[in-house]
Amino acid sequence: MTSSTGDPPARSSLSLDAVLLRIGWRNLWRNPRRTAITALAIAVGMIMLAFVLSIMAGMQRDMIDQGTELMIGHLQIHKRGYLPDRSIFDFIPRPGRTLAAELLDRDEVFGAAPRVSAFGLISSGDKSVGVEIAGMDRDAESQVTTLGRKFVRGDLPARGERGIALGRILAGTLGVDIGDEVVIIAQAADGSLGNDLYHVSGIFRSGLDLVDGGVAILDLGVAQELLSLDPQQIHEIAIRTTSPSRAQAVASVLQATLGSTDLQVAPWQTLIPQLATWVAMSNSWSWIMYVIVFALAAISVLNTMLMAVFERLHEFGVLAAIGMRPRSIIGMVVTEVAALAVVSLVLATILGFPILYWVVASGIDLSSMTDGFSMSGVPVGPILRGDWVLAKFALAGMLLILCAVIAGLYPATRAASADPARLTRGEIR
Amino acid sequence: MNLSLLLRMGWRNLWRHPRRTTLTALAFAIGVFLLIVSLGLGDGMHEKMIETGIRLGSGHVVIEPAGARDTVDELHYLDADAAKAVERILDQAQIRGKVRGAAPRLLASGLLSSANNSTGVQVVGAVPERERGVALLPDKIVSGDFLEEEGRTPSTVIGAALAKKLDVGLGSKVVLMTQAGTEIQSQLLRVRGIFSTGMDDVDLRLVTVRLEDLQAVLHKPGAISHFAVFLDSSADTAAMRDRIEQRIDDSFAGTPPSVLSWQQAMPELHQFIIIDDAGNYLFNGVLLFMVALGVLNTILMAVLERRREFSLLLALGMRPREITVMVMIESMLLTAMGAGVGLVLGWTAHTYFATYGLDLGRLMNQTFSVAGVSVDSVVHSYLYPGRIRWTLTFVALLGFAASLYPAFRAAQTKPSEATQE
Amino acid sequence: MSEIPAVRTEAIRKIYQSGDQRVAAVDGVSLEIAKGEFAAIAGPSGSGKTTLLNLIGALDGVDEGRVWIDGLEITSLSLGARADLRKNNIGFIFQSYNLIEVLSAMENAEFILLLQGVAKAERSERVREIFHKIGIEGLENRRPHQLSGGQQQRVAIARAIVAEPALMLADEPTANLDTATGSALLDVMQKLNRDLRTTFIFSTHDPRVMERASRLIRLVDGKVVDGG
Repeated sequence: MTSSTGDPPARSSLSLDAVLLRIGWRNLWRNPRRTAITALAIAVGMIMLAFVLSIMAGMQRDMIDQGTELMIGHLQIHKRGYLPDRSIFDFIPRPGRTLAAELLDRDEVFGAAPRVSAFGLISSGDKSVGVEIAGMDRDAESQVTTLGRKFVRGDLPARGERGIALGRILAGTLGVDIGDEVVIIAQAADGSLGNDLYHVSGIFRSGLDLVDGGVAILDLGVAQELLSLDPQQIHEIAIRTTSPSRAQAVASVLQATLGSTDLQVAPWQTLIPQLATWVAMSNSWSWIMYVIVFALAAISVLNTMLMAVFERLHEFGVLAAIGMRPRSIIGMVVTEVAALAVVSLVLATILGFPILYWVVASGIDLSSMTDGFSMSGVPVGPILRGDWVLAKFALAGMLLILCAVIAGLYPATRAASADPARLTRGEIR
Repeated sequence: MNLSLLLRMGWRNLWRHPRRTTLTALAFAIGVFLLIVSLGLGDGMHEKMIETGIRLGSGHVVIEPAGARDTVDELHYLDADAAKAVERILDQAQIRGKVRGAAPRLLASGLLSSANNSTGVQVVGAVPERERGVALLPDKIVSGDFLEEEGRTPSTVIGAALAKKLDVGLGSKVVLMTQAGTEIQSQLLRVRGIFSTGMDDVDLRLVTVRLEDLQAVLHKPGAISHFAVFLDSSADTAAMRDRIEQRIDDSFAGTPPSVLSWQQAMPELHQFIIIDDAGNYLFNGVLLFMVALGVLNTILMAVLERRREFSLLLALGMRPREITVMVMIESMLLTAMGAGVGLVLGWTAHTYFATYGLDLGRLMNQTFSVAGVSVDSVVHSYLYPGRIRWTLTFVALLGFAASLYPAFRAAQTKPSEATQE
Repeated sequence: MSEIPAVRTEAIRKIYQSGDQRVAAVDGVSLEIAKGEFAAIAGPSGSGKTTLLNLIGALDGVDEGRVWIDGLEITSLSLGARADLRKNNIGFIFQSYNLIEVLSAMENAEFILLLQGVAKAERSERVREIFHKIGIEGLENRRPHQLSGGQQQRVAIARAIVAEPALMLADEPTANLDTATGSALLDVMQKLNRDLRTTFIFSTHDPRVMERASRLIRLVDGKVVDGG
């Protein structure tokens, strides 16, 4: 049986939700200036949040890189009890060079550098300084640390070379340059005082005053000779893995494999606890900032929406009078609020993207104010480079919308409670 | 212009919409509160860092041989005559009054060994009576004393961490190896004091002996590496530095010793504080900008919904100028309210934290160091005197700026609109 | 001997632009209103009576022609001088939104005196006297939203008259009032007109107001058609 006119059946009208959405969105633009000012205020807060998060993430990244990749590595292996005193007698109770070579075969180990270390006196002419003497294998080190790239002149001593690498400050104190000779006196493992002559093979600049002024590096084998150690007697193995964030996981795997009676496998978080503390602290600060920015944004939204609702009570009364349910009215206002939050976020993205790009690409150049300073023992600056914190920003955006909706519930319920009877009595104009 | 009328009307206008006014003022109050609290905690932390840096290092003002900083070379000394001349200057009336203490020191670097271990150290030769009451170490002694007891063997004071590393205790013997001239000298020392500052760099590497003992070991009688001058008040730093420098320049023929303020002696610390402050201001400035926009919105709304009334006022003979001023007064009253509440709350919090301190220990369970100075986990709030004044000025400016656009709009009203339907 | 008229206009024109249409709301009006008259400008809506009132009351400026109040030509005055003129010489009563919400009835009534710089004691005395004359004693401390429509309009009259202006202009003052209240209001205004010889000019389309006028000026499409 066909319909009398032969017309196709009428299309289903837009669902109520879609209509509410449209109404909510358009309501926002009835007072464009007020909407714009509120959106701007929230956008400014969000941009600043992103800016600070970016700088902090960048600083964290740079500090961890500097702290670990410069000399320490992502994790280290020592004899249990070697740290913190670093006694020369506490070398790893296994053939060190062999162990290092074996570790290279493991998953997620991309470099394993064996080292020895002792304290001694370095002198040139009539100047002398107490230093830490490190013995490193140049080829192994290049797989683990970036120190090899920090040389101003020359390089780390090659295998077998009787050369010594000094930091810039140490070289300055002693007044030596490449090729000059220095004397090392150190307490050897057999109790005697080792001493010998070496030529300066390279001068490095790490940026850390403690390293640049207090560390002198010999070739591993040459150092072992000076300190009366056997070739397989090693104090420390520095390891590079996929990334600093993997250090703890890889350390526990290695610890399990190697056993924990005589060896200790420590990730950088344990070796430089100060740095780990700083990372945790800066994360806490960012949460505090979230709360502050959201609180102020919520107040803005609340204020604006209250104004918007109260100047339209008449309308809400009319809607209630013609039969719209309170739930739908609340939905309409909440949509408006959410739309306001979204507009703010869009504005924040448009205005904030260039800022974020600038911070990540060029960074904040503080070199006119400082040459850089150290935090938690790690050099920072003078250029602070940000990180792309897109995931964090997206999260912040969603939290903002949630926050705005919660703030909008009060005005929404007021709108839904506009009594239609009051309309006809002329009490609401 | 009848200011009291405008003030009265402006104030009452704010309370026609109590909820709106309260919310806007509340947001502003939060902004100001946060500003004061963060300034207070920031200043407090910086003060502590400066104090530690000064007491651990070379005081508010340091007098050292010219050029000593250009190369990190410990061979720059003030000889005995120069040292005496400096002492005389420090004793002069206009200087002595502001100086709490001046400690002469001799610095050297060497190797300290025990039977079990050895490590590189920085040696400081000091005069215990001159260090007490000003320097940090005498206060941080945990066992023994600070170079007071005499004995056949010269005394030394070392850090707790160093003692543990070398496996020594009170009364133990250690050997110091250092260079005197072209020869390496060994000197036997007895540990008669152990200190603990909580800073690894210091506890592991700093060793103190009596000045005369170190001068003897280095074969340099009377030589001084620097004078660490401690003032009664850090505010006098710049003035005292200038004064001391002038006296020294006058008394010395040839190259006089350099006189440096702590800002010049510890530039890293100084720079960090400046940058940290700037970051703080930036953050709070943006927050206040956010809430100022809220004020703008509120006042603008108030203006736009009162167009009829403004027309009426103009019709009755008020000048547009007076309406503009009334709107500005409204805006500034609103910000003043918010700022007032924020100030009171902020000041309360500041006073509380100044007395009891804020323990960030939950956030930091380790000592944390910046620019070579360790930061205490307990921060006492402190506000440099100009801060409150600056805050008030900034807030007033914000209130004024937020009023500009709405006032401009209000002034555009036409008196003829009073008669329209 | 003829007195200087309270109001005199000469071929005044006011033109409004609406989209691309130019409309002359007041189109060449020349009239004279003598001192002490109780005159009504009547006409349907859109006839231009409100605009004419605005021009006479210096609320707006003419595009063509000249206006004199008490012999003083006002068309060439600056905006500031016009504001002073309104303050010192003209009293206004509007149809609605007459009072300032945040001020009490007393403060509303003394507003113009305040702008003129009159001392507090004198202000209070004069206002109390007028309140008595108009019959709104006891309402001094109420806010406008606490007064009925008729009371609000009376306070507006009090404000306008207490400054002793030469001219009182009223734009449809009874439009929002019921018959009885409106009638009582007109009684008050007529009494003031007789006792103080203040010139009253109304704009109205209410026949009851027109009945009471001593002079009726009819306006159609911006032109005077009767009573000019």
